[in-house]
Formats: sequence, structure tokens, C-alpha cells
Amino acid sequence: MLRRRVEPEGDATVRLTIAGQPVTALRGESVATAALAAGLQFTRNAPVSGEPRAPYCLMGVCFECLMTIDGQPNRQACLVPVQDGMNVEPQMLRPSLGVRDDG
Amino acid sequence: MADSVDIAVLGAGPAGMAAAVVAANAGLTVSVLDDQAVPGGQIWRNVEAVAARGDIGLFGDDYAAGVDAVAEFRATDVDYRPLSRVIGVESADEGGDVLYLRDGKAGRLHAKRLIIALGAYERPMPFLGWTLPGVMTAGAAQIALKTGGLLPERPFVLAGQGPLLLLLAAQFRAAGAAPDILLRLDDPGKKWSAGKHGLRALAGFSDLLKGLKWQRSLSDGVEETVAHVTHLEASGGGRLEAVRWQTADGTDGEAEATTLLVHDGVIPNAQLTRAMRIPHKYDVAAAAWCPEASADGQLADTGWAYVAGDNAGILGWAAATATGAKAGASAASALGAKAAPTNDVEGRLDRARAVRPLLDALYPPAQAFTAISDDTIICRCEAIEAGSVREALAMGAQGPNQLKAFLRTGMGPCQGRMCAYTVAALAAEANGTALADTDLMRLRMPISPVTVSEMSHLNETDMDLPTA
Repeated sequence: MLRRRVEPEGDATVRLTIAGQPVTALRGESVATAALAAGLQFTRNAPVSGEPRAPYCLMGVCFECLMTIDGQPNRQACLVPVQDGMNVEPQMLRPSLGVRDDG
Repeated sequence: MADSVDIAVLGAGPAGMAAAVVAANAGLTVSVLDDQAVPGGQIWRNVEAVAARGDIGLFGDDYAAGVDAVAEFRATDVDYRPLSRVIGVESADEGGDVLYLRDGKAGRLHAKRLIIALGAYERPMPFLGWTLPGVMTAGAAQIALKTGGLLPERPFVLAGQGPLLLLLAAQFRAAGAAPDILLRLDDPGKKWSAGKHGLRALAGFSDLLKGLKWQRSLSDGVEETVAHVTHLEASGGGRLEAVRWQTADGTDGEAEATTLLVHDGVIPNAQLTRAMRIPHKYDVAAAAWCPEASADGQLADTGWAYVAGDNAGILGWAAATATGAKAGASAASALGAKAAPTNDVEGRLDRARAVRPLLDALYPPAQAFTAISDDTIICRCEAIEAGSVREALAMGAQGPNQLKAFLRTGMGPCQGRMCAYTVAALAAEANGTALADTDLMRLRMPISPVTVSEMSHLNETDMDLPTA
């Protein structure tokens, strides 16, 4: 849905892992925009209906970008700046049970 | 360990920074807490870095004005706390305590006076398919452009109304990503009825010129512009694939789309003032609930808390710097400090207020004339459709508060930020009452989710606790 105008280079580059893939991001941007730039199609599912969701507001209002960052679930990815070595996973919850659906 | 200051400011946008600068220059100790990693708020989001990378020209003069404002803020000795999420406020010791999250810990900061400047956010506009990945607000895409340098992928449809839509369209075009299709949700007929506010608006002449310039170039580079759209629908399997629309004269349209950006104006971010139980009033012209406050921003029923900027009611950034400075000066004076008056505060406010009635009349919320279908999700967190809300209301749910018990509307992680207005509108529709006589759902602190681990840091003591 969004693509990067210019790829980050030099000191401005941050390297992290999103959904198991190595990703380069721009220093100062949020995990949510890095995920969008990396082509991630969704950041979480809706726990009630199971349908995929992606960032909607990118400013901390809608909570659609809840992701698991470095093992901690329910982080608002739009409010967390990217850092080298971060490990980010989309948050998939099984409808109705509210338990993680990845193991 | 007492963490205490004279004045705490919540929010580092135009209003919060202006308030902090005035209070700090009066010799008071000031802390500023803000969600973001850098100052500027949403309008001046990431302005320092954008200026450094030479992209400031993409965003226009209003954005560029942020460079000096942020520099002035940085030059003070204000205790600036970025990446700090406010979760609540309590009255305490002739002032208030701010509860906030930072670095995975909850903290408590006491302030003799509190200035709340948490800004605004885009009015949620529910339509069929708005939860699909690929649909986001135009403001979100603007943030992605300012921070990550991201552009909408084509085919790109922009749908909405309001002065900010004109600006956003100009910014995307400047960045080389004009929308393929522009769906205008404003009613061109409003031009005539809004005319009566034109004379007053002349006092804000430069804003009018700016608006006309944007208006004229709105469709530049756009393949297709559709006027007076009254029905919007997004569809796709797991992600956006197509956008459908209908215009006021009944003409249907459909197009493939990868990105759909929507915008229906902005509303005050009153989450905190509402959770504080400050009385809020529905402003009919602005179609928004605003906290009741005095002319210098002092909140009704408190002797120590102020509201400033768009948090108090939408007037734009120039007015926000004025109301911020006024609240900062008033709070500083109340503490016995001599606050220096800033330049042309009343003039800036007057010019912004002069244009507002015209803008409000030209651009009422699209929702006012587009019906929400029963199968449209209105509470995104709990995936609740409008039909369920209408059914619960028909079964006797009294209003937004009782709807929580019936359906959980507003009880997911966003705590009603996305659905409170819509739920109130559906309740008013069912009860045959005016929105002004309908209450928004009640909010409680914490206003953002908190983990037990974060909470456990709130009252740290020096006691030796037994370890397991």
C-alpha cells in the first residue's frame, strides 16, 4: 500500500527483522512504517473476527498496528522507533480464545 | 523520590511547545511529555530531520514554520520527555499528578499546573471495507511520508473532504504521487450557503488565498476527479482490491485500487479531558465535542488544569501557538511568575477564528450526509457492525454507556477513539435526539493500555523487598 521514495543509506540505515525477513529502515521512523515499506500486508489480525488489519492512523489512535516487538506483545508499532537488531512479528490471535496462534 | 515541577505540559506540538517556552522563560520549571521521539506534534512531525534531508519544500510554508518553533523549544531548559505516553491525571496537592509510560515503566510526575495540549486526530469515517489493509487515513500516509519517506502505491484513490485534504493532495503531488482518482465527499452546494461567512473570513485573508491556491490545483495530475460522492465502499479478499462509489445524482463508479486514503476533517483529541470528567460541549458548527474552558484555557471544575491548541477545539496550528502561549502565561502568573506576553497572540487567534465559520460551513463531516449501512463495522477493535448497534438500541439500550454492556462498543484497545462519535450518532438517530443532547461514552483511566509490569514501577520505594 505504501512504498519508499528513496532507500535509506549510510548512517540513516537501521537493520531489523520483520516477520522473519531482514529489513532496512530509515533511522527515526516507526516500526509500523518500516513494516509497510517492507511490504508487510498486515500487522495483526482482529481477535474477534480473525480478519487481517494494517496500520490505519500511524499516530497512536487506532491500535491497528499492535505487534510483538522483541517478544513483547501489544506494542503500538507506530509509536516505537526502529532500532538495530529489533525482532518484530505480526500479532496473530486466534478468534474467540484470545490466545496466540503461532505455536 | 519526588518527581515534581511547576508546570507539566502534555504534548509537544505547536500549542504544547508554545506553552512550555512561555512558562520556561518566566523562570519556572517545566516538563513536557510527548508520545513521539522528536518535538513538533503531527503538523510539524519530524520537521528537524525532514529539513536536514532537504525535503522541506514538499510540505509547504505551514510545515516549514515548524523549524523555528522546534528550535525555539529546544533552546529552552525545559525537561523534555519524548516517547512518554500519558495514561492518566489525578488531582493532588494543589495541583495534579501525571501518570505516564516511558521505557517500559509507569511514572508519576507532580505539577502545580498542568497544560493539556494533546492535539487532534482525523474524524473516523466508517464505510464498508474501511478495515481492509490498504485503506488508511490521508493523515497516516502524510506521517509515513514525513518520517519514512513513503508514498502511496498505485492505483491510488484519495477520498475525502476538508481543508486538510486540499493540503495533503498538494503534498502528495509535490512528492510525485498525485492520486489516480480523487473522490470529493464535500457538497459543492455548500458554497452558496457558506457564502454568508465570507465577509468575516476576509480577516484571515492569507489563509483564504492559500485555500484558493490548493483548491485550484487540487485535480492537477489526477486522472479522474469525481464530485459530491455520497457513498463509498472498499472491497477485497484480505486486502484492498477495489473501490466503489456513488454520487449524489446516482452515478456509480468502480476502480481497482491498491491504496485508498480517506479524510473527513479532524476532531479534538479529548480522550484525557473526557476521562478527567471535565464537562464537554457539542459544538454544532464544528461537529465536535470540546472541553469547557475559560478564555485562557483553564478547564471547567479545576483550578490547576488548562487545555490548549486543537485539543480545545479545532483552529489550526497558528491559533494553537497562541492558545498555548496564553495558557502558559496564565498558568505561570497563577504561580506568581512574570510571564512575558508573546507577539500578536490575540491577532493570530482572531485571524484563525475569522476563517473557521466559513470552513465549518463549507466542509461539514461527510457522515452527515452519507448513511452508514448495517453491515459496516463501526467499532474496529471489537468488529461490531452498525446493524448490531441499531438492534441493541431498538431492544432498549439507553445510549453509548449501556451499549458497552450490550455489545462492548468502545471497550477494545482504542477505548472508543475510533467509534465514540459514530456510536453517539447512532444513539441519537435511534432516540430521535440531537447530537448536542447525546453524551459520548464515558471514559476511564488509564486512557492507554498498561501492562502489570509497567504498573509495578509506579510506586517504587526504597524498602528491601524479599526476593524469591
